Amino acid sequence: MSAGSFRIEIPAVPEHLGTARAFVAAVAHEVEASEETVADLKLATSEACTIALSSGQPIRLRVFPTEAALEVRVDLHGAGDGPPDEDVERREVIASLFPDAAILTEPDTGAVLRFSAPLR
Amino acid sequence: MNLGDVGFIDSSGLGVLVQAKKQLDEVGGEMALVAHDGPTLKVLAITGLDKVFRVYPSVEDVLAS
Repeated sequence: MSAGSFRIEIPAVPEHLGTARAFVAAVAHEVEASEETVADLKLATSEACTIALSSGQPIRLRVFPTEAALEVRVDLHGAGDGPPDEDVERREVIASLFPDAAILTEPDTGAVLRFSAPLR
Repeated sequence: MNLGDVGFIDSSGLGVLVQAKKQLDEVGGEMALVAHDGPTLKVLAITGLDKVFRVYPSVEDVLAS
């Protein structure tokens, strides 16, 4: 199934991280991800968005569900370029959950933190 | 600290717990965690904090320790 993509933009304040988690969880439930996968996605999303918070810019979060996986991308807007220790730890948490986690550079967006959860 | 009703915790929340433990350690106090929820136990394990905190499945287990 290709369900298209989903995106949300939230203000760069910690109080809205729950909205980001709920958004990813909703899409994950839509594609019938397991509860464990949903919990892992919520944690990784929270860590990624917390890294992005330091940019001070609205946090854009995109989710791309496919037949085999659910991919999440969080725009960093320069956050994480010279990451403090906490950001390194956050990235380690994400990589522990999703080993394919990586920071990519998109032509129009810049640095993006990407990770994907296998669905089957 | 009873995390039994905590619906979600990430590095930020764990950081607060670590700070609280440090402050208690400085005055000779002790801190244990109660956690039985899968995601909570998982993030404690991923971050290695399950080796830093004593983690119990229930308050009764803490009291009996």
